[in-house]
Amino acid sequence: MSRLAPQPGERLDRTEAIAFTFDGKPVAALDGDTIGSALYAAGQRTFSRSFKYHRRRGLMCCAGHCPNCLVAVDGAPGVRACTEPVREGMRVEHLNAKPGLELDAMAVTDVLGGPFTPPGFYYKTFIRPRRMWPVYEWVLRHAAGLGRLPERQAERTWRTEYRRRHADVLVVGGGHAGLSAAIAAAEFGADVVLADDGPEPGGRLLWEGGHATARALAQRALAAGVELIGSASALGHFDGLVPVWQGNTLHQVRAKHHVYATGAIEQPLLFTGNDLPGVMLSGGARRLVALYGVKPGTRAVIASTSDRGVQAATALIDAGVEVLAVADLRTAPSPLAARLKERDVEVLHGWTVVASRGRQAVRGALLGRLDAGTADSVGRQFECDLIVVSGGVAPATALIEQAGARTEYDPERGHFRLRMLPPGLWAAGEVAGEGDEQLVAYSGARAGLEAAHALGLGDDGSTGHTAQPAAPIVDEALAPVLATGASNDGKGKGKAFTCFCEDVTAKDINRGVREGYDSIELCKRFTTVTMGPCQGRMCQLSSIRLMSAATGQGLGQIGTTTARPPWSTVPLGALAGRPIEPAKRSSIHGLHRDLGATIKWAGDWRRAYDYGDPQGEALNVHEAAGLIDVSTLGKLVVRGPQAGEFLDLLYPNRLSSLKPGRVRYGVLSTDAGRIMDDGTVSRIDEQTFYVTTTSSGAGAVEQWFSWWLADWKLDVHLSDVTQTLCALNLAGPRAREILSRLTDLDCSPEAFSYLDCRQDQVAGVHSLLMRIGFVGELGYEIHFPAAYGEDVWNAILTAGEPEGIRPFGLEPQRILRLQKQHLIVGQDTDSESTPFAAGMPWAVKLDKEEQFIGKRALAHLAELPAETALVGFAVANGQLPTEGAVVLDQRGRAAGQVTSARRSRQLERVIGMAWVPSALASDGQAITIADNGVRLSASVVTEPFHDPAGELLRS
Amino acid sequence: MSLGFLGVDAAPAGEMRARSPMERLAVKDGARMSLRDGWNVPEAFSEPTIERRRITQKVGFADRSSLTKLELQAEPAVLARIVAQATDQGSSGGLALEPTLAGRAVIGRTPATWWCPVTPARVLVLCEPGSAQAVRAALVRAQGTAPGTVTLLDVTCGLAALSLIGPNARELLARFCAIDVRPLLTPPAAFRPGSVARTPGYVLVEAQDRLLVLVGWALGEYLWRVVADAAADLGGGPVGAQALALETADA
Repeated sequence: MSRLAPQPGERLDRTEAIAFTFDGKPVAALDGDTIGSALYAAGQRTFSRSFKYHRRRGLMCCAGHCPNCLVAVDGAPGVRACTEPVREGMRVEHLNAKPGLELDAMAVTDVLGGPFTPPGFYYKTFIRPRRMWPVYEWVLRHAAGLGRLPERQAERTWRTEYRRRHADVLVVGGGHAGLSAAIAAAEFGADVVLADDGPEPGGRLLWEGGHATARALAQRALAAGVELIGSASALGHFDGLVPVWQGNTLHQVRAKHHVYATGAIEQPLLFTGNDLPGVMLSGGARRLVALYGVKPGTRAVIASTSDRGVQAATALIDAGVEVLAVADLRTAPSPLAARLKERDVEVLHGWTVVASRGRQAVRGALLGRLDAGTADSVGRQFECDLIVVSGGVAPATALIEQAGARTEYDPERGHFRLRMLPPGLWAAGEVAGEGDEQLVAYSGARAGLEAAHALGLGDDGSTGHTAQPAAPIVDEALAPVLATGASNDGKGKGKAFTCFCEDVTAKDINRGVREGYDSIELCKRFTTVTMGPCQGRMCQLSSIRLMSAATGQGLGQIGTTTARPPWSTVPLGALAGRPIEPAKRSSIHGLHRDLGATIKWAGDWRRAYDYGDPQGEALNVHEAAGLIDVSTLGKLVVRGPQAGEFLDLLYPNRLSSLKPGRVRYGVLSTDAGRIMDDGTVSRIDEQTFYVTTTSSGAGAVEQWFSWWLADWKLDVHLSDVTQTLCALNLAGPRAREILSRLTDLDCSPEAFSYLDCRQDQVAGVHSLLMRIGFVGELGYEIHFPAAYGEDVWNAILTAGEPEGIRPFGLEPQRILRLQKQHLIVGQDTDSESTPFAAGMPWAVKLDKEEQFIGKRALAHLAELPAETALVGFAVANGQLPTEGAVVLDQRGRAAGQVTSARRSRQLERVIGMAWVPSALASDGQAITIADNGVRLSASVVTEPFHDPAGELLRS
Repeated sequence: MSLGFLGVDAAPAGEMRARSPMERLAVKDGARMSLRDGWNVPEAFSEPTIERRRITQKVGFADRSSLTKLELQAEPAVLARIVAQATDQGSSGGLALEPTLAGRAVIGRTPATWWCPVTPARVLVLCEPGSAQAVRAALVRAQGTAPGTVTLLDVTCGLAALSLIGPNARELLARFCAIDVRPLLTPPAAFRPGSVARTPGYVLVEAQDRLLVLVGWALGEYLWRVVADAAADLGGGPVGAQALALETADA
C-alpha cells in the first residue's frame, strides 16, 4: 500500500471502505477513490495492454486524457480507470491481454513485430494471395481492438436517458475560469449550465492547493442558480447544440451563448519507453497525491520543459517521495527551479529524459543533455520507480474549434493558440492562453459577463463587476518551451510513442513522411495518429513536431488536424436514441394484432399484411366479402369558393365540374408531366371537396397543395384529416347486403351507384361512404372518425358473418388490384413515369382550357411516342418473377422491368405488371424476363385479368 | 352534405364508444375504463392516493385524447374577431386573439376553452367533450356573421393528447422533446407547435406544472410508449380521470 496520510482537500472519505475486484482479485478502496487510484494504492502498476504491441500500460495522466488506464468495468470495455469512481462490488478487468495480464501471448509483437508491423502493414503484408484476405481479416480483427463486448445482446443493453436542456449560457469546463464565467453570467440573471468532466468542479485548483477556493466557487455558482453537470464530457459542438455525456444520460444542451473553459492538456515527452508504467505526467502524479492520498513512487526523476515539473517536484517531496533529479529542458533556471536546490534536489538545466529502464515498470531513467535538438547518448542513469514528465501544455481547443474558432501556432509558447472566435462564443482560462490563477479567474468572469451582456443583462456599469488584476502576472506555467520538445527523433533504438492509443511511434511518423504522407491530415489517416480514444490530446502536438522535424516545415505550416466530434469517448448506444420508433398505427391496429395479422412497415405506418392466408383472403373477396383497413390513405379537405378552381389547377382532369355527391379519380402530375400521386376527389358540397391520396404520398401531396396554395393565394382552406378519419373498404359480392344491415341508406345500385358518395350513419356512426373499388369487386369505402374504428370494424364483421365476410390485409389487396391492373404509384411507377406510358391517357384532359400543373409537359409528351409502356403479363410456366426483374427486348437487351408480380389463386396463374418496350405493349406479345439467371417466358395482357369490363365494380 | 362525418358525437347511436388510440396501452397498464361523454376513458390506474401523490410530488401523465379539437381557419383579422366574439359569448371577458400570435393561447372561461394559434390564419380550439356542443354553437354563430371564408372542422380524432402533470412535467417533456419549455419562456397559456418525440405536434402549457402534448392520432400509441418510458426514470406513471379531476379542482 502506498496510501499517504490524509491530504488537505482530498476527495476520500476514509471511514467508508469499498471492495471491488480486479481480474477476479479483491481490491480494497476508499469512498472517493477512482479505480485507478485504488489499484495504484494497492500496488498495481499495469492495468491493461496496449492496442498493437501489447505493451504494459498504467496510470499516466489521472485526468481522463490518455488511453493508458483503459479497463473493462462489469463487462463494458473502454472505461478510464483514472476517472471512474469505485463502486462496491464492481468487476474490473484488464483489456487486451490473453491468457492474462502478466503473461500476454500477443506481447511477442512488441519484440518481433516492430520492423514488420509499420503503419498500414495489414494492407501491405496481407494482400497476397488475395483469396486469403478473408482469413487475414478475421485474424487481424480478432487480434485488434481494445476489449470485447459481451457476446449476448442482453448483456450489452443498458438504458440511456436523453435530456434536452435549453440555456442562456453553456459553460464547458468547471475549473477556475469556467466557474468564474458561470457565476458572472448567472449573477446577472442568465440561465447557466456548466458541464465539467470531473466529479467535482474546480479543475487544477483541487490538486494545486486551491481546493477551498474551488469549493467556495462551486457553492457560489449553485447559489446563483447555475446547473452543474458533473462527471460530464461535452462531445462536440453542432451548430450550437452541445451533447454532454454524463453517466447514463445524454444532455442535449442548446444555449444562446457558449463559454469554453476547457483548460489545457499537459503533454508527455518523447523518449524511449515513454509508456512504461511508472512514467507519469506531472499533473497525474500531483492528482494522485492531492486528491487520493496515494504516493506515486518512492524515488523519482523529473523531466520537464516548464515550471510544472518543478512544482511537481516540490509536491512530491512534500508527499515523501525522494526526488533524485530534475531535468529541466530550459537552459536558464527559473526562480522556482532555483528554489529547488534549497531542498537538495539536483536540477539539470538543458537536460531531459532519454529513456526509461525496466520491463514491467520503471526501474530507472537515463537522462541526457539536449544539444541542438537531439539527446546526447552519454548521460546519467538513475535508479527510480517513477519518472514524472511534463512537456508543457496544449490548450484544449478541439471543442471550440468545432464551434468555428481557429488556431495558429505560437512559437513563443510552442503550441497552437486561439486566434479567432465566432460571435456568441467566448474562451476563458488556459484554453485562451492564460496560465496564472488570477488571470484565469479574470478571463472567466469577463467571458461570463460579456455573455450576460450579449443576452441584454446587466448594464454599462456592470463591466466594472470584474476588475482586471492590477498588473499582468507573468505566466510561469506557460513559459516558452522548446518547440522541438522531443528527445527522441525516431532514429534511436526502442520505441518512443507519440500516440499511446494506437501505438504509433516516432519512427512511424517519420516513415509516413518518407512514404509521402507529408501533410498532417494524410499522416493521420496513414498512421491513425490522433484517431484513438484520446482524440489527439496526447499526440497531436508531438506528431506535428515530429512532422516538422521530418519535413523541415514550420509547425505553423504543418497545422493541426480538423477537430471532429466526439471529443470524448462515448458508447455508440448512447447516440442511438431510445428504441421506440415513431410508428403510425390505425385506430384498429390492436384488433389486427388480436386477429393474428402479420404486421409490417408500410411507409411510416404499421399495417396488417395478411391474417395468415393471403390467397384465401383474396379469394374470399371474390366469393363473399372482405374488409380491409385503409385508414392510411391520405385525406384532405379542400374548402372555399375557389376550391374547384384550385383542384383544376392541380389535376390534369377537370374537377370543378364534379357534382356534389360524386367521386372522380385523379392523377396528380408534376410540372414535368410525371405521375406524382393518385387518388379520388369527392365533392361534398359546392365549396367543399374531399381528396384521398396514396398512403405513402399523403405527406408529399399535402405539402404540394399547401405550397401551390400559398403561391396562388386562392380563397381556399386546406386541412389534412388523414389521421382524423378511419377508412374501411368493404368489398365483394355480398358487400351491399352487409352494408344495408348497418345503415338506413338506400344502397341499391340505382340510389347509390358507382362513383357516388353519401353520408349516413354506419353502425350508428356518422360516415362518408364512397362507392369505389380498388380490388375489382363491388365495394364501399367508409370514412368515419378514428375514435370509432374498433367498434365499426367489429360491427361490420359481425353483420357480415352470415355472408362469410373475412378481414383481408395488404398482401391480398395487392393480389386483387393486380388482377385489375390497378397500378400503385411508387410501386409500378417511378419519377419518370407519365400517365400516357402508364396506360392512363384518359386521366389527362388536354382539352381543358384552364392551365394546370404539367400541362405544357403533358401536351409535349402526348405528341411523342412513348418508348416503354406499363402492361400486365402472365407467366407461361407459373414461376413467380422477382419484382425488379429485367424485361428483355428481342435482342436480349434490358428494356424494361417487372414492377409487380403475384400468384393468383383466383386466376390460377402468375400475373404481374411490367414496363416493356412499346413495340411489345400489345396483347399476346411474348416477353422474356431475366430473373437472377433464370429466363421466364411471359405474354403481355393489356386488359384487366379479372372483370375486364368492370361489370362487377359497377354492379 | 356537410363535414359532419369528421366529428365525434357526444352520444352516438347504439353501443358505439369513442376510443383513444392509447386505450389499449392504458388498459395494459392497469387502467379501469369508464364512459364519459361518449368516450371510453381511463378512470384510474391504481389507488387515487397513489396517483394523487404522483402528480403532486413527481409526474403523472393522463390520456386527454377525448378533448374536443376544432380547427378554425379564416383571414387573421376575421379569425381574431370570431375568437373575440365566441369567447365573449361564452366567457366573462371578450378576449382578443392578437396576443396569441406571439405563441400564447387565449383562455375561454365558461366553458373552459383553449384558443391556440397554429398560424395567424388557423386556430386550434380545445375543450372538454361535455362542452363541445356549446363551443361549436358559439363558433357557428360567430362564423355566420364573419366576412369571407371561414372553415370550422372537427379534428378531435386528428390529434392524440396527453397531459403531463406534476413538478417534473417540464423535465419529463425534455426527455423526448426539444421545445424550450423553461418557465420564464413558456408560462401558462404558452403554445408551441414543433417537433414532439420526433413527430409534428404541439405543446400547450396548461398550468405551471401541467403541459398538454398533442401529436397525430395515429401516433397516440407511440406517444404513450415514449412518455411512459421517459416517465419511468423520473418516478412517474399514468394517472386516470379521477386524479386529473382532483388536480384540476385544486388548480
